[in-house]
Amino acid sequence: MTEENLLDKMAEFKTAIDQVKKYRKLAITMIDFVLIIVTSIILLLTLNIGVNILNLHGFDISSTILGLLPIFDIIILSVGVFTGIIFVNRKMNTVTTLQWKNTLDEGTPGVLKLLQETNWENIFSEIRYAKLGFALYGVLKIVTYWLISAFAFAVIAGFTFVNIFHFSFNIGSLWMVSFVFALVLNAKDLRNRYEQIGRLDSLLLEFRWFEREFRRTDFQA
Amino acid sequence: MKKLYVLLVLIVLIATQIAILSSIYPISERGSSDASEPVTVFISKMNYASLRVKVDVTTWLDPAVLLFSNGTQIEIPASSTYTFSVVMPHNGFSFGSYNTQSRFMNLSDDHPINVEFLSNYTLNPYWELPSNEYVSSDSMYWFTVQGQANIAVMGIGAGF
Repeated sequence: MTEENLLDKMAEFKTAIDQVKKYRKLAITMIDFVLIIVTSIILLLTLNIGVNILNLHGFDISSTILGLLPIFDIIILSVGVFTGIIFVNRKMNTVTTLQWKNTLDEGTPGVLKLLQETNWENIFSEIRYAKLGFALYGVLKIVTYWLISAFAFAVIAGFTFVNIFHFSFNIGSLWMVSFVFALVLNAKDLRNRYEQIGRLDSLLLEFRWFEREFRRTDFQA
Repeated sequence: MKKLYVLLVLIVLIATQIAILSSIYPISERGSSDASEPVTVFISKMNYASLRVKVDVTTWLDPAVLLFSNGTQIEIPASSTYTFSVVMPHNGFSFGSYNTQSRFMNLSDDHPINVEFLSNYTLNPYWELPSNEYVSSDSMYWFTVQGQANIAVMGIGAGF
């Protein structure tokens, strides 16, 4: 293995590890994402219960406010989802990457130093964890898109199909349509995620091979 | 791990909120009476439930008469709307499950609030009212409209 090859391989390896670190951060941050979404659901339910109870106790709540309630619900849920996505992205951006660049610039001694510092078992565990977080985040994103689009479709269907055209609307078909809509919206993300998980799998295999090779290869400077 | 417990508490909170929200019932019932057939409107609820409705009685070309259960009567002029509110607060606790069905009252655990329109009802509903821990005389309100009119009962009820 020549020095150039070795440096390329090492750069590729460390870049992949940086990526895994980001995904691991994603897995850790996912619980915060769920907490943000759940809090927004609690807020919208509190608003609905509050308005209904005030109405029941004789406070004159105008029909305009009651009519706009589903739109407020969609706004609250959307704000929750976007806050969650921004929070997750910010947390992922706090992961420090390319810290190995200066060491790698030292050439073969730098590569050896980096390899000696590598905790292989820890890396394998991080890849598995990152895969889980990556997959679960994808599922969660689809479910939240599904919820928002179901709400939005219910409001649109209420205004158009029921009030204007006087069609009776089946709630089951509403869930089905919004699910397909959420899948279509996430189609690109879903494909990327599937490919990325496949790449993480092959990365795991490659690293195992790399670890074995490292233990037995004599590097030539 | 601490965040998972917070999540669990929030999920329990959501489940409770959904239970409360599903115990709130919008009420929107409409009917009409004509000169030959007076209509009696029965608003009933379980003792544990509460409701607040607004009643609109709109006359057309002729005046109509509104008769309340206490004997009071009001004449509504032609082409006008008379509006009044009915408030029936929670008036008792009851344990377990119950349902009662009669021509003026159709109540169950899933349907603790009911509005019925009956034509040519001449009896006193108190004679037909079941009296137990779930339903009492305070859980029912009725009025009769004589003459041609549209009647709308709209509001909100809750199973608590």
